[in-house]
Amino acid sequence: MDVAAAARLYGWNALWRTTGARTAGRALIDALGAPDENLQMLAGMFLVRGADKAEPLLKEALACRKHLPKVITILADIGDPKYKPEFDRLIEDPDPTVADAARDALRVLEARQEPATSN
Amino acid sequence: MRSDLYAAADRFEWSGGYSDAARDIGARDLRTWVESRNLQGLDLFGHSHGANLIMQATKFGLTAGTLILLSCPVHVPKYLPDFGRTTKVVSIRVHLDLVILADLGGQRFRHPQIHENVLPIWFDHGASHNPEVWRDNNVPAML
Repeated sequence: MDVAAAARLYGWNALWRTTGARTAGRALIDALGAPDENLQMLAGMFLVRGADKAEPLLKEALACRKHLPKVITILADIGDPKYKPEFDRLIEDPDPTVADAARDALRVLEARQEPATSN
Repeated sequence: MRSDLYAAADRFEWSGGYSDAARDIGARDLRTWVESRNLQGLDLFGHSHGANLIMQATKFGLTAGTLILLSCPVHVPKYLPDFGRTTKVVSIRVHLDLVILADLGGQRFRHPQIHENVLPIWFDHGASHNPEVWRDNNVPAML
């Protein structure tokens, strides 16, 4: 694991969360494509925790198909149902990883809208 | 790592999502995957929140053998297995895992039924599923 790169990501996240600096937020988006999967995970967690603040950055990435399917998964985990039509459309995507992620995203959105049930 | 790892093409996969909802869906899917193949009693390996997923699957009725939790973010009591549906639970992790830190999870289990093993490695969330790390630290002996 690249510890220095992980420390930088922590720094970008702190800057983004405290100031809203888009440059810092974009550094997290870029890390979704890092060769080190630890860095991808860190970035994903930071973006999900950023929720509303992350949404415009993720929307931008989705529009230019950057870091799909990860961006789809993160948007679903943030849980805004307004992306349902977009996920419905992406189910037909020629890239099977994108189509699968869109299917999973719809299930996550649906599950988040259901009341808790016992097992 | 193990000579009897499931090697067929229809291996189990989940979204790898970052939410409880994604993990619950994955846990239910895992139970369905196991039962549709009549493979109850399998030893299950899960890395990161995949480890929480396999614990959650036992709460949803999955019968398993040993659960091997690799670098699992600790979120107790939300994620704990149904100990009556497993034979043993083993956790393997590193010191001060930076991904678990970001997840705001605990760094180790303090549960009498979970065998905790901390490797002499720092920060690296992925180390626990690295075959070289398994060999160098004799991880199979911990299972």
